[in-house]
Amino acid sequence: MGIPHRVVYWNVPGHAWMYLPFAILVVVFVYGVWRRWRVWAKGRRVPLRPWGPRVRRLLSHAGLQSRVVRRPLQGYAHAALAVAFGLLFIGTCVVALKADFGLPVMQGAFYLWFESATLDAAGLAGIIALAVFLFRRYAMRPSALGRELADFLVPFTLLIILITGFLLQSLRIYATHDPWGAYSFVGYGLSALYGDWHLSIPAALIIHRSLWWFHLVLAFSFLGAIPYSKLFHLFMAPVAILLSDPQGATSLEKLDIEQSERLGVNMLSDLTVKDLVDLDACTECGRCEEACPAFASEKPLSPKKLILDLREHAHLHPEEPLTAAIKDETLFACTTCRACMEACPVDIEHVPKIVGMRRFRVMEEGEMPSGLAEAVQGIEERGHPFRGAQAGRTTWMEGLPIHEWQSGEPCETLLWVGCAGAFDPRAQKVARALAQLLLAMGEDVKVLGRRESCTGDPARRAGQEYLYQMQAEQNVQTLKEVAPRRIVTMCPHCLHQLRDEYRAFGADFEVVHHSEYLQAALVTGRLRAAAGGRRITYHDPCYLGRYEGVFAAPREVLKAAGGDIVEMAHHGRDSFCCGAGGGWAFREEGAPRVNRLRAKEAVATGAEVVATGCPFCLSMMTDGVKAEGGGEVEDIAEILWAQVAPEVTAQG
Amino acid sequence: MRILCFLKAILDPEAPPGAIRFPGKVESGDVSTVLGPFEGNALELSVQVAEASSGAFVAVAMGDAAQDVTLRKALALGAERAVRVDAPLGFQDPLAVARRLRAAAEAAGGADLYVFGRQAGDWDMGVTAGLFAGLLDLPFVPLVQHAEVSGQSLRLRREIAGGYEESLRQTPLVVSVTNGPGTLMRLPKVKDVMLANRKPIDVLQPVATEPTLELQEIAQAQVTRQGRMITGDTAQQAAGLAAELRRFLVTGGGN
Ligand code: SF4
Ligand code: SF4
Repeated sequence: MGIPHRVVYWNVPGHAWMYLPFAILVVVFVYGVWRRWRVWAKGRRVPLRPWGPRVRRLLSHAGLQSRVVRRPLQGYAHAALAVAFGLLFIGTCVVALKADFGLPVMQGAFYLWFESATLDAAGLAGIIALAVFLFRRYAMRPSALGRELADFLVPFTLLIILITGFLLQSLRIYATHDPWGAYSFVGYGLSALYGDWHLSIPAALIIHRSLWWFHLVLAFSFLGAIPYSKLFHLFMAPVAILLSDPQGATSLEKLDIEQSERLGVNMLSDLTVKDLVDLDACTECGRCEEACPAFASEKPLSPKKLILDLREHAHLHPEEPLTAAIKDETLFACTTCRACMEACPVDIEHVPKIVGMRRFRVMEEGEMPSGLAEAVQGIEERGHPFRGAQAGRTTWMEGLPIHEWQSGEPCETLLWVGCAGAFDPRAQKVARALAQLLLAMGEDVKVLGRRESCTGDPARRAGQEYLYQMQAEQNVQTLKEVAPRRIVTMCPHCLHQLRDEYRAFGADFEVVHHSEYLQAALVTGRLRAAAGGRRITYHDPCYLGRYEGVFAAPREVLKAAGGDIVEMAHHGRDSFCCGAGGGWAFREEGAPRVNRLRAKEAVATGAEVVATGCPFCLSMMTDGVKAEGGGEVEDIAEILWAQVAPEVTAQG
Repeated sequence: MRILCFLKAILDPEAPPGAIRFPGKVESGDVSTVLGPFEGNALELSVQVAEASSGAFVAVAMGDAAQDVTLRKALALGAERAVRVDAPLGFQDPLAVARRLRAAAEAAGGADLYVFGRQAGDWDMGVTAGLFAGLLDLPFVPLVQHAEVSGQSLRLRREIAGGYEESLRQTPLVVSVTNGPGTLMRLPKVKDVMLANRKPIDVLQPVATEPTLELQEIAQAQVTRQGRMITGDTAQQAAGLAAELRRFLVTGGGN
């Protein structure tokens, strides 16, 4: 028997002809890549250092596919397929080393255990994974998955390639009585059948030879199709992950308004290389679409379609403005909730693209949906977006021993109330509850009062970067003058600005959300709460959770207030937007409204109270829960204060 | 067509109650000066007519430097020039205002079309445009919502009960503009805003005028709530309520 091995190109005389289709493959492949390269090359280059966090992300998201497997069925199937093809690719390289370079690699134990057994296992795993994919797409039929011809051809062709591979193997084992055939256990199993069917050896040889060419041409066609289809994600997904912002692109890029030739994004060249790579990295998995509140509420936006439309535009009309591909209704439907980005297994960044295009429409063309335009004008004229407000900046705190910071005073704890806390009657109550909690902790609470101005967040998300930057500069200047030890805020949008986005404007303050501050006070015993006992469900605000990573603190506060927490179907990182973000808090929304969808989930938990930690969520959820026949909607500060107040009174 | 567009910025009508104390004094520094509610309409119509007639418009405001917000808006929307008549803001006698604006219009070399907002959002008199037309002996069309250029004439549209009215008017002409679907002020482009912020504003000294109207007194309405429970059995309560209502009708609610 000698050293275990197999004859490469057995039964295929004239196999050298395969270099002809191979050459065609190379040309087609290179051309396909070049076509895409042309597009990426148009992109703006942005600094990528430091590389460390990016590489770690790559290892986790691409190497371990940690995001892919968040959906276990298709996730593990995909991971299995990826590993299988990785192994099969290595196996093919080994064959090439032997056939083309004469290296003695196809023999011995390595041949038996890797080239035979392992690759058979890989092929089998691949077939199972593909069956799962086809089953999901065509039997379970989730709407987020496309069912075009290409969507069928890709898994089907792969399946045929794997199956013909096994058939070839089995025919060879059958015809040659391969003494090591059993190691190729799948082929070996199949070959046993041929005996039962009395397949003649000459017939087996003919079938083998024809099938060999069929398999080869099919495999080459498949490889050639990679740069022309969504299969290209194979190469581009790792690049997209590597180029993605390690902070999750939660902070928008500061636009250089003076120097930019064009404000915002309207041509391919206004996008970054990362943005353009994203278009080719999309796997069309539809997870973003499933997570999107705008799509769920039947608005003309699907983050998946947005990426695919941009991709098509980039390849068909690379020199034309993007407004031809993406309509205003689509752009302005986005609540900037980041659910799509959190769901995307390949770290595609939708929101920066959307806001970039909004910037162009707003700043270069003066277009903004009504409602939003009035709110932004409010920020410009009076420093807050609440039109027709009946209050001043300090109305909410009348009768409380809190005062406005005076020039020259030291400031221990600055309560950044936010426009909602000051001007929205419902949120004013939250501000009062929070202030009373801070006072109960013995804090010397100060506010900016008249000197507080909108952080500019609604303007920035709407695309009005110019106004935003003026607000940011003014606020950073004020805060530097006040120099507070810490800033506590009850608004996640303010939190995200003060803590993160203002860094680009020279801010470096300790900023905490009230949930974090209250939780710490409960832990250290500065606050004591009486036992509660209500069933509470907590709605994670997008800007507190997905943007600022605060998930545990508000829940701890609710537990300390005696709450019995029941979670909604979507919570934590997968939370579903209330519908207020991206300027929608100030717009008229037609049915079906996002807040109703979210309220349905909240009501379905059977909780007596829906808690949240954002004044905008509070307002949206109050309307939604009322319409859905649910109970109370309260901020965590109100819930806690209700349990702390009796303790304070008891202590006198 | 040459257009003069008269604008006025006013103390923020959305300022919180109590932030502006009468008479005419601003209590706190946090009340902004903003474009009046109909100034945006006047501006939009001026931009439209200037564009349609390949003409130009000049923005004119009267008041102190706080007026510059409106003039900068006009510059951002394409005004060729901005002029401020440097007279103090506050209660203004409309005829005196019209006279000063006439002087400013003459200094600017006159125009084919003079555009006003329907009324200033603070004193709400709505007569300056008409007085101005009288002083210049020009026809005046109030409450315009749409203008179409046809040679040296304008086809002007106004809303009337249940429909609209259109008239063809030869320039020169004075119009006042009101809100309508076609006169919603467009958003300026940021580049133009930035350019506008760097442009100069011409300051004109006001001509001397005799006031024809003087402000005597201004009083803010006092809101008081006086509730009283009418007690007793149902019959007594009904009689008590009837007596109260009678007293209210006679005295107008006073005591
Ligand atoms: S950010 Fe939210 S609303 Fe916008 S596209 Fe993504 S999921 Fe949809
Ligand atoms: S953008 Fe991401 S989540 Fe959406 S379809 Fe493409 S790969 Fe999937």
